[in-house]
Amino acid sequence: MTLTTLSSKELKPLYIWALKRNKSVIIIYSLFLIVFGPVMTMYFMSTSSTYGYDYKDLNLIILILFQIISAFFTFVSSLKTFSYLHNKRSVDMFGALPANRTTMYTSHLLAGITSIAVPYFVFSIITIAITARSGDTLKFGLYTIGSTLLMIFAAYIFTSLVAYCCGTVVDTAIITIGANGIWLGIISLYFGFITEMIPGVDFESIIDTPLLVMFAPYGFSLMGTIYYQNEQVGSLVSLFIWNMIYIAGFLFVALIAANKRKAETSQNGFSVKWLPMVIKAGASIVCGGFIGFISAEVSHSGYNNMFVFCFWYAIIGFVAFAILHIIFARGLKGKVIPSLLTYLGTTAVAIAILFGFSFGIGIDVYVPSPVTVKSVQFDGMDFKDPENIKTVTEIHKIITKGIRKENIYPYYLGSESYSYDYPVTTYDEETVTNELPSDLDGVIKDGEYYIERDPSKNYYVIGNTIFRFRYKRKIGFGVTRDYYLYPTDYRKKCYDYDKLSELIMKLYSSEEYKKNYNEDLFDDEAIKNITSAGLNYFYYIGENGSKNYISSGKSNLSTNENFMNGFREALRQDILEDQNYIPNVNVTSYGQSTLTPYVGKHCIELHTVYTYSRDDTMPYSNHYDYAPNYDSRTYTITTLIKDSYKNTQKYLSDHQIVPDVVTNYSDYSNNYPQSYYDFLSDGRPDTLRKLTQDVSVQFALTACSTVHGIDPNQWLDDNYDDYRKALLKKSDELYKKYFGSVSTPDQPVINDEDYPDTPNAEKVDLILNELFHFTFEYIDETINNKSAV
Amino acid sequence: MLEIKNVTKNFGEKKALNSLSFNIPTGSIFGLIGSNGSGKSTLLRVISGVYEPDGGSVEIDGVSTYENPKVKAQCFFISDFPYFYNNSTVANLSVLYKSMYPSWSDDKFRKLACMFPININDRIINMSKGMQRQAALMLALSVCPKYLMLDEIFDGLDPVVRQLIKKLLVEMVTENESTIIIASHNLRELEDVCDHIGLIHSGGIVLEKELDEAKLGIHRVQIVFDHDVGEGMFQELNVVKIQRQGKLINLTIKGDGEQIEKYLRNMQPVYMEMLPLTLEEVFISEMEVVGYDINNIIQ
Repeated sequence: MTLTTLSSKELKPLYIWALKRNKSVIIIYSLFLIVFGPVMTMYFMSTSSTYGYDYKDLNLIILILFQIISAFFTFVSSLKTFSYLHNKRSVDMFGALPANRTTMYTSHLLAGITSIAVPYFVFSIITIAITARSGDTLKFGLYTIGSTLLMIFAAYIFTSLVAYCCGTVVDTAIITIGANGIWLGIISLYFGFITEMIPGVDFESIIDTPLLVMFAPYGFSLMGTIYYQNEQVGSLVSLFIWNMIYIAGFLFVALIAANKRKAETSQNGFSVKWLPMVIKAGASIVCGGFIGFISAEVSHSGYNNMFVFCFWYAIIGFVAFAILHIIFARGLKGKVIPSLLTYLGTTAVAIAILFGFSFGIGIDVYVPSPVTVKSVQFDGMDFKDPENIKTVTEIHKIITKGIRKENIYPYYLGSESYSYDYPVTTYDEETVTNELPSDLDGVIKDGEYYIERDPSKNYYVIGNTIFRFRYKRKIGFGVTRDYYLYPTDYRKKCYDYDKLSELIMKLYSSEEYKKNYNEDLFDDEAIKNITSAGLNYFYYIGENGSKNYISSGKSNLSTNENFMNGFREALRQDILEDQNYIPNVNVTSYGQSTLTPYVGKHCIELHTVYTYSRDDTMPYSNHYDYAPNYDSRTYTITTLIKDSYKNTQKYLSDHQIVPDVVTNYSDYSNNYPQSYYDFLSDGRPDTLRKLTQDVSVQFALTACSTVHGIDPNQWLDDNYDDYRKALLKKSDELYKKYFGSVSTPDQPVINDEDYPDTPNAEKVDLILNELFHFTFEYIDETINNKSAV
Repeated sequence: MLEIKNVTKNFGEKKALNSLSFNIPTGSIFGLIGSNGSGKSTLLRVISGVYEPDGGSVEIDGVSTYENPKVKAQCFFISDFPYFYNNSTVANLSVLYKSMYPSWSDDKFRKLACMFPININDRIINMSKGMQRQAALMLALSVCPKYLMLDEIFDGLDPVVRQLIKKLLVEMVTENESTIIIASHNLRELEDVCDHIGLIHSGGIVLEKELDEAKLGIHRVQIVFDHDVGEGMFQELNVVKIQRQGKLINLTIKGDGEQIEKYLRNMQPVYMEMLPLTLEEVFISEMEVVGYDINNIIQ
């Protein structure tokens, strides 16, 4: 499209003519925008009593709605505008007019885009003007307008390109929808199942924004909104830039198509003969691939995975191919044999590639040579040390050695997107104890291998473990692998667990790992930031799992940079000297103490809450609506302090840091039962007994799960009756302690007249705290007794 | 001068035009006739720049018409089924054509608007087939093109309008020295208005001549002999067709009229008359030569 075209005298009349042709679309489209824009806004304004928060949500809904409406009308309008190519009579009329094809295309394109973009722009601006009361909403609105306008341009040009390749409006519509859908399908297949398309070439780093919208321009603006909402500013900018590049590319190709198109193609097939074949083959690959991969995943049947995949790929791929063939050929006439051969060829090639990748190249068992690797990410941690890289490749080899016993490509190139599909297996306790390896649990930080007890069935439910390897090679390419290890794989002894554990422990004992894992301890700036921000909590977990606050009464220590630096130095030294270093895991999440590594060790957790200025780049954070001047973030350092960490132990001891037991029940709950308020008002011993009874389960659950790290349901099953009796006895003792003989069942003693200087609630809280502590001690006692037995 | 040089146009494997070459002189009304599917409409589309020829070219005054807005501005094409959008009226189409064609004449448009029984503000798609053609022709004549291509223009028109159109076309040629190419199966109407004809069949040109010359080049003779005459007696003549009805022999003979008459007189017929051929008869005779006759079709 040159300046000559834009300045040609034929452009204007054709532009006006095409614009008039779109009159009906413009009117209907504008009506939609008016109704779902200003009118809807005014309606909400008249009904909403609280300003601000509603407007932001409304603004978002309207702008997204505008995007969807605009995408739909862009599609309709572009089909209508370029339908003149798909009617022999109109081709005669326009073909004979004294204008060249470039002018003809340009005029129609500009008219079509005008008919969608201008109403969109006008009504969006009006809507934003009504709703946007802050810089946030205005900024978001302008981003949305920008991305939607780009979508209109890209989608319009894309559809025009397809229109020039097709002979009918129906085919144009199908190809446009198909191309957008197939492309998104291919991308989903990639993200869902295939982490590496070409052996040794990692696409993950480049398959972001640009490829997402490449042949799916209708998804562009929505993608922009998602990026904006997720504050992915970089992706958003990249999306804008790439979309402009695509617009230029589509325009260039469309102009070529406009000049090359044979006019006689109108109502007569496709001007680009291979286009329907490509779409049919694409649909076949996407539909067959989806169902094939999912079937293979579900079947989880070793080598049969490949055959399950092929079977469903062939069936579903054929159905998709046949449906499109019937649509394009308007029945079963047309070139059935060549079409069938294309399908068979495509299927054969796709399956051959998969088989070739697996059995030929061995992509599923490929492990890069350590000397070619620049860095590798394993267990969420980056390793650059050659020795550690070698260890990771050895771990990788153990997995690939056993992987084909149960599973095979394409299944094992799956990524995390579909991990939720993996089956959960139930075992009895005996199997778990005797047959499953316990030493891997929790070691793989990214792993989802876990064991839970199902209270109703008394079975253990076990998930799978994910091993993730992300190699970056010296030549620039990467290798990406995700492996899902089922509990059944463990049980069948597919892998050399002893060696696996040994290598993982070796990796975790490396200085690089320790420094990476404890980044906050080893990074001067990080610790400085924390101490300057001010720590609110500082506690460690003791031998029996109790949570011990060491900041109690010494909170100044946690903000004391000198103290924190000394503590850090001591801990650094201990960690580096630790030959059997194990990273801490979430010690309270999974319940089973026999399978968690924290037992016998201390865990230090540092929590800090700090404030920062309002960030205007986050337009829809709810924080701003209710607390516009600050947002809070918690920063945590978690590490283990073993008994062997003499430096740290000594440092803490030198600073008179002695464990304080968790104190207040109210720290854990503000949901008092009704009997609490009843006791406040009547002060009767029987009411206190009822209150004690009501809080007993809650106390036990809290103590078990948050402090002792044991399964509360199991403990309650075993101990509840005895515990309840003991707690009630304690409750009676406390009643006597606090109220003595004054109390009788008929005469309530706790009232303001008798105790005018003591608030009732404070006294009741003291009783509850004592009961809460009693629960801790009781649970400790039962655990110790059980251990002794 | 409109020159058609070795024009070839293929639709898939079918050759619609096969190395077609002939010239159409400026200021003529050229009748393009031919069998169904012979390529008449395709040729008009190639001439008017709708279709790109696969081979050869169409040139006006030495310049190719395809993708040449300047040349196309001198041409106007009305297809066999003129296209109008839902909301098209003669009035709003006149705005488009006026801005596209420099030769547009408002005077002419006003004059034609009075002449044709059409309300220029009515939606054209609501009009009858004949009225739609009148609307298209009204606009075409208002453009005052140097080259006007008309495909089956007489279809659906009543005899009065047909006369009017013929008159207007002749006027256009005399006033503007325009060249008009009419593709039609209505040979009777073409005979009235055309001065040149081109006969095409299966994508090739069979005949391209001035109409009178075409008519003079082929003759029908009714002849009676008092003795038996075998068909071998006419061997030296270019006889296209012989029909016998008793002693009456009908001959269709190509060639110079005087020589044919002299030859036949020498055979001493008892009765002989040379009859003029209509364009339709010329068409049928010529098509029979290329094997396109009713007997072949029935077979």
